[in-house]
Amino acid sequence: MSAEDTISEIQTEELQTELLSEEKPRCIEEDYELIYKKPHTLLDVSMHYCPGCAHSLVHKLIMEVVEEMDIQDKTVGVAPVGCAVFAYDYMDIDMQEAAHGRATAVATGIKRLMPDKYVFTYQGDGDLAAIGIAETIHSINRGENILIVFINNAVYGMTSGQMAPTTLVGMKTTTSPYGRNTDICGFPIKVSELIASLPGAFYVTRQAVNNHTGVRKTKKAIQNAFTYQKLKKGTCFIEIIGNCPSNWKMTPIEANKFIDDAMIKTFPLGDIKLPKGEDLKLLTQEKHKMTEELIIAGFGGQGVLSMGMTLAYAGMIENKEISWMPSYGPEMRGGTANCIAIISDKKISSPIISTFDSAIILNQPSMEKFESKVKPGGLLLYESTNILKLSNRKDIEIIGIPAVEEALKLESSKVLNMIILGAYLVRKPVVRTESIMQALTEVLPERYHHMLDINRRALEKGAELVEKKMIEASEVF
Amino acid sequence: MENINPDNKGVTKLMKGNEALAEAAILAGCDAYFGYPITPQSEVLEYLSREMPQRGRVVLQAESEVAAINMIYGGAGAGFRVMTSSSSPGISLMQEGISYIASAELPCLIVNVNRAGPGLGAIQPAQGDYFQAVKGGGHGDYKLIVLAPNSVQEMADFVFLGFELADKYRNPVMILSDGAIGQMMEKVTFNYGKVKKIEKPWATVGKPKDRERNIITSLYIKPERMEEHNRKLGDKYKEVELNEVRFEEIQTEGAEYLFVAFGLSARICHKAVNLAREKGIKAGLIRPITLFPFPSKRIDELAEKSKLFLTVELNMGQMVEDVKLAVSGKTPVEFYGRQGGMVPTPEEVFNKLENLISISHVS
Repeated sequence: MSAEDTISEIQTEELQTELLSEEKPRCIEEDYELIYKKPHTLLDVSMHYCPGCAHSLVHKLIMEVVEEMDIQDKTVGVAPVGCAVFAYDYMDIDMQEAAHGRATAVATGIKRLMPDKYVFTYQGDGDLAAIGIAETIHSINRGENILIVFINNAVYGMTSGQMAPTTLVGMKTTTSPYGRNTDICGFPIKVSELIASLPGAFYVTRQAVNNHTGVRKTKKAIQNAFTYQKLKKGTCFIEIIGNCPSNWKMTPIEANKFIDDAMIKTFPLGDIKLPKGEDLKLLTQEKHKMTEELIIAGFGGQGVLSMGMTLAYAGMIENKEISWMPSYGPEMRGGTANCIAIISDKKISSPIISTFDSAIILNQPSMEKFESKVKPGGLLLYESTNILKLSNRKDIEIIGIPAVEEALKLESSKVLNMIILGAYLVRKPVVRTESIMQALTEVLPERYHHMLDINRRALEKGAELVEKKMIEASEVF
Repeated sequence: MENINPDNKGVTKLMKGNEALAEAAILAGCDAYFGYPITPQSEVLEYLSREMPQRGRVVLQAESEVAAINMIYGGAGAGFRVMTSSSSPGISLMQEGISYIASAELPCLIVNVNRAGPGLGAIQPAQGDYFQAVKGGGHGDYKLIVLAPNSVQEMADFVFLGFELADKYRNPVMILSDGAIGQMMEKVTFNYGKVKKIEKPWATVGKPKDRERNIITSLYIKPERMEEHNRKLGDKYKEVELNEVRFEEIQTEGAEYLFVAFGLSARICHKAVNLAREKGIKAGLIRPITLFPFPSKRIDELAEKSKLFLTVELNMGQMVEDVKLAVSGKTPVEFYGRQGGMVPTPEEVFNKLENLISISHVS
């Protein structure tokens, strides 16, 4: 049990009081352009954290997400025992303070009784990986629909620098003064890898906040995790490699460098477990509107028309309103082909339209012709081995899929269109994959039915590629 | 959930104590039960695992008693009516959480179907957890409201009473039962009025824009604040002592010799009182129903008129200390106990009384 260091705490409190009593510098708003402010969900108080500590930054990121998603009134946090024990003094949300290691059990109690609320725990490495490892593993194994934010800085911070379960091999702490000896103390626990194997773990990622890219990725991960909580598909686990300049006996800059030089060698960054495509579809379905107006364009022979037709067939199988309109006109002579597919829950008005919710673009000329025709907020999905000059638009979602390359890997250039279609359906789940397969069975002549399996694999491949893209989206920033 | 299941209104059933308790939890609008199997109370978890889901209530088998009590903390903190149950070694594991719950002033119901200890002990009935239940159990200065049922009927009744007291005082309530009361079957009548649930504006349900955030915590880093909190809790316990003392008296009118016993021991002493009266010995029984608050005042009054107290417990003598404190030397207080899961017969207890009377006459 780690006790709070009362004396240093009192000193901190005094320091805080002094700091607070100083008059704050005033700024005249008209003289400046306001380009950044803290989220309103983060309280305007001095924090007790040491200079350069990652905790305050991660607090802010979580509160930014709560503000941006407008879920302050639906969020309940659970604070740990450790440095973040006062987290509830900084976050302007309802919170519970848990006993050491028990945060996920407390969160289980909260979430089970309020399944529609957003519940997260915020825990350090001693709390989560030592005394609370049983609660951690079992909560995740039950697939509790909570977010666990795990700050790993390889030491017990609050009790001033003792060895943690995550202390690096050879690392000196107050209780491993000669360096962590694996013969005596074992190896650092890689919690993320350990828990990712549990079926209840839905999303597991390890990030660091020692540079701006890391901060952005961490925020993206927090956004993902809060969004996924709606799906009720399991636990989201974000390990964040933090620093501890005070106990590492380093300046904040040295500490951040130590993360790159040492910490991430033991704890490599990146996604460890990603949600399945089928599950994410539910998320996009929620957002999806009733009518989808799509253009598919490329060279003849790329399967442009059949892709649209298959989609239309699938729509019909699902009792949706559909229309499929192949291009006919002068552009046909240029060797390009396109078709418009409309799928709706309502009766479709004009089958010929000039702007689109989504565009699937398979060659460069089509890119130039149609990129401007995508409605703001729409989707532009393109074949990235063929198309080198991209759209500059910022108001639409642009995703490139190397379908040609992937089709070759599947040893059939013919399934290029199904890879693209699989990718498209993740972002725009207008019909189910099963309906597409049923449509193919009906569209393809008997003699091509041996191709059904490879078509299915192509659809799955496309879905997988786009999911990866979605997760990596923050890197494009 | 607000209304009692009409099918059960006024219905009498033959049930085990543990089952009656579980059924009462459902009728009392218990929103969630978190538990872990341990003899002799696993029936509670089994019963509720079967009955709660179909009523849309939450039931969860935790990975340990440690986790279960912390789930209780979370659920109670969110303002729900929650309950857990266990037996002695499991209750020991919960003590940390109970201390946090007491300090954070979370209403909840904790049931201990006491078995023999210390250690892994034996699975037969005992009352060795009296001190643990009444004097704190976990760290720090706190009190549970402790109810001691002595029948299957009371196993059920005290669930209602327990939840109401928990809500009224924002305090954890413990039902201290034992293996015999839990395992035995008796008839039980479920006839309760409308379930009373009160508003809990302090609960963490998500902070709307127009109120301050709610925090559930037991951390007061400044000693001044901690002391203030200790005193606030102390005042609450005094109020509980003032309002909530409950006890039963059997033939105490004009009694010269008084048994003091709770739970199963009180049932045995009741029979011993009958045996004594048959022999013309003026014996009576006072049975504390609330172990905290303890009926000290009434015992003190009875001490004025009686010659001897005999405290009978299934332990090495725990409640006897509270009886002595209450009597404060006015009358001799003797103790008779069996341990390890052994239970005395009424004759054994009566013989002890007869023996003590003869000694006091000789001297």
